[in-house]
Amino acid sequence: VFEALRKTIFGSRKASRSNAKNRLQFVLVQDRAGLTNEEMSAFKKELVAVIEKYFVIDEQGFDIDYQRNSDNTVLLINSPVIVKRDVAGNSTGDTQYKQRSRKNRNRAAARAAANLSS
Amino acid sequence: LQLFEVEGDSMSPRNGTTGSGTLGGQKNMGQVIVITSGKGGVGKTTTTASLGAALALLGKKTLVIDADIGLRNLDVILGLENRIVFNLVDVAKGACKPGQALIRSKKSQNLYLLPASQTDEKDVVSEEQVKKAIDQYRRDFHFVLVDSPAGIEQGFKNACAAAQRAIIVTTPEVSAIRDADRVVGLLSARGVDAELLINRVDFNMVRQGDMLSIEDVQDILGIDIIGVVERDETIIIAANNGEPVVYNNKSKAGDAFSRIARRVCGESIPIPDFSGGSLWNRLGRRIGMAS
Repeated sequence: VFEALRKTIFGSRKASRSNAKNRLQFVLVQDRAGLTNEEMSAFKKELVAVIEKYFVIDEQGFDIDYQRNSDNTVLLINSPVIVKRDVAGNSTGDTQYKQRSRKNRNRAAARAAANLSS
Repeated sequence: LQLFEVEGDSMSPRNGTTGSGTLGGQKNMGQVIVITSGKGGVGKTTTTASLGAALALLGKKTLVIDADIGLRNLDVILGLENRIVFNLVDVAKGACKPGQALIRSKKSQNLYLLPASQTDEKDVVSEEQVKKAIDQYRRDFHFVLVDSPAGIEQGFKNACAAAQRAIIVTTPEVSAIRDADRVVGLLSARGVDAELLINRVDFNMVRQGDMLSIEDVQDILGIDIIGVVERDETIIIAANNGEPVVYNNKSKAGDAFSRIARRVCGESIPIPDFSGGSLWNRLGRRIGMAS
């Protein structure tokens, strides 16, 4: 109730807590990997290129995380993949997802075509 | 030099043999816990003093060691600054007997301080020398807490040299958490178990969305939490008086340190989290009715 009141009186202001959390999570991936900003984005680019050779991926959702557990450290690469039948156009998957990755799919399709002709 | 009512052979200046000691020798060697943080000013020294005093209150023979060579402060926090004769560097270099450098707390039979040298540089002693010096005390104490200097250089390495366990002190701020993460990595490379103490939490700010919550910090760092201490004026008052905050039974921070001491001893006590709760709970807490 107070929160709502405060917001209506002083106007809503984005809480700094989530900002802090997001920034920390981002910077710690680099710290933990011991890579510079440039190395990290180069790594990401190369990874995307390799995966794209075999899969159609959604680059928007591509994400690298460096997670520490109690007994080991794990490099988590989250790469949303568009399944093959999706490329063929008979998927029943969600449309928003398809829209975002249309660019990639077209690129992959072009590449597949290039492979066929060579 | 009589340190304990119970005999502690290695502590006696005339008897350097490796006797059974108060804890019964090799099998019951005390645990060495380093208190560290990476970032300075987050409360390492206060934590060492308060936790040491809390463990002593639980009947555990506890030694607190100031490993911040050149910038000692644990002595003033404990109110023992006027009684220093020898220090950690003297012990590490063999310039005095291990027992000669210890100062007993005015408040507790169970709490001792080994101060740092104020005039030396951090690299005047090696990791091996510090480890050897600290290990000498293990058979006579249940817990040896080592107050690490800030940073991750030689002073930090020296402080970790003898540790089996670590408490990383952080505050819910981006800089402190980032540095804590570095230290988690360095300690795990050394094979030291690390737990997190989150200091100076302001639950009002957490509720307003302007401070990272305990859960956020745990999410980010991914290590176990040994305790949470609220931002509390009584810490400053305790430091002014040179009396550990755990002796103030009206202090929230003191209570938190007492709970942490019990967790250090292996008890499982839930960590209270006041960042949520209903409006009525919050109102009640504000006027001191509910907890």
